[in-house]
Amino acid sequence: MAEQPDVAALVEAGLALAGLSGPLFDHEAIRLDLVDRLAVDDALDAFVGVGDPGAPAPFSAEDPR
Amino acid sequence: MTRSVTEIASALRSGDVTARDLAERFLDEQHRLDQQLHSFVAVDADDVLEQADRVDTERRNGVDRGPLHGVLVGVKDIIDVAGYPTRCGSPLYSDRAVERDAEVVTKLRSAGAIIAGKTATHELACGVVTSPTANPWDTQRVPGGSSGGSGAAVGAGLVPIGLGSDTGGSIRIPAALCGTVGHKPTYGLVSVTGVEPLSVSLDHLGPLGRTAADCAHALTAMTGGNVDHASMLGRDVAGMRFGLLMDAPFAPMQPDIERAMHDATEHLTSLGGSCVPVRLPSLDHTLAAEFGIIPLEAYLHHAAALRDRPADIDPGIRTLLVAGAVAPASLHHRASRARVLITQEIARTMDELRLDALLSPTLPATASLMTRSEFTFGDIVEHISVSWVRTTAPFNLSGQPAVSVPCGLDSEGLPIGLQITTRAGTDALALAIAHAFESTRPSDSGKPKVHV
Repeated sequence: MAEQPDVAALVEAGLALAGLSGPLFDHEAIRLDLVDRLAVDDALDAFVGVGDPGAPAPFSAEDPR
Repeated sequence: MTRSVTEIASALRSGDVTARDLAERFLDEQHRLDQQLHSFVAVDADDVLEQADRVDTERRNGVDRGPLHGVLVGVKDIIDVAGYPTRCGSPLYSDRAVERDAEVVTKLRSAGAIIAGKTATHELACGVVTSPTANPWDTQRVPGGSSGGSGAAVGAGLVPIGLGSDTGGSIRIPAALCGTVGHKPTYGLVSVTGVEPLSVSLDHLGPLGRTAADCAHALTAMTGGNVDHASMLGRDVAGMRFGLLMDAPFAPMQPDIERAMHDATEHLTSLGGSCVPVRLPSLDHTLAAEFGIIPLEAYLHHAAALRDRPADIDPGIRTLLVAGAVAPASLHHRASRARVLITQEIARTMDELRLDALLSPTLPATASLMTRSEFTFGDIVEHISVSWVRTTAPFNLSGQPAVSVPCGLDSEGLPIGLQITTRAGTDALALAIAHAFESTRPSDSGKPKVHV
């Protein structure tokens, strides 16, 4: 499992950088949504082998399953 | 209006009917049926009649621009048509008419098509419902999306061809739910110049039509006519090899759809084709890849609107755009890498098994009631936007041509779609297989409740 970023800090920084503010941007709701998305990111990590940049992908044209 | 493009072209050539006749009938029927369907969001009657008169003048002068000459085409309201505003189903957009046609519309006009008007889209082409448009087979049900207006209009027989866009299934979803053919071409085959994007690396433009042949003729026109995508129509499927995709992410599915798939493969086998079951493990990551890519690309296009007018964006779409703003770019990067692996596995499997095409259900569930937001498959409860994307999105990721063709009705009389996918660049083959299938299988006993 990839190391998780500080999602709350990510949300704060992301919203500030994008100039998004106001009551329609509920930081906690956005944080929870992002946690879900990054959980998906973990599944992608396992699939694409990004956790170890030197590792081969689970399969490739040269490495038939 | 329920005639095919080929039949219309023949009737126009012979003088049995004029383009003005067809245009007037369309205007009458659209006014009548769209009280219930809401398939078009804008129709300029004077403009439609002017185009029709020009076609009739050309025909009287011996000009024949081909199969689409005089055929009415509905254009999804994310595609620019001069003289109409492009509203994208969203209050973010101006009511001011645009001055230039999108490139695909220019090409259709060159082929003699008559632009019938703008068809409804799910807001920002980002959803599978297209409210308030209704399904012509049951007006209590959704037509699918995001090209739901084109699906409903073609399904009801208002126009023979509708244009759609497809980022995760938005042509094939309404095609399957409304009982029409829908073709998502090879990525990049149809120009997207003059089209509002959702996710630029996944967006495709293509036709919805009454038949695969109609879609083939439309695709030829949409791409400028230099390549005839109808050239393989009539090709025999005997000797062709088909890979049948019935595992995840195509499963779980409704039992009626499983039965229809069985019937479809039996029919293709009876025509001399052979079907082998295929499992593509990489497709388990379809949704992760699809939804790892869309938020960032959609945000990049809508950043200013999200910042300045967030209240004018549907909350669900707003959440997706915000995710694009705050999620680490690595999410897009990893999703893109997954996309490459998915594309490679599909291509390698098709080569190793010497497959001409992949077969799958277009969707695992038929049209839902407008009041419903989830499907239940045994113990699994799934939001419709997941159910209706997991079977189509694999081929947005891979960029392959994929056709949805009707393959039966469920126990409630609702259409079911068969998805036929071939190698990138072989759109004519995909459409030819769909044509062979639809032109030889028995007709379904039902028809839309709302139709011309």
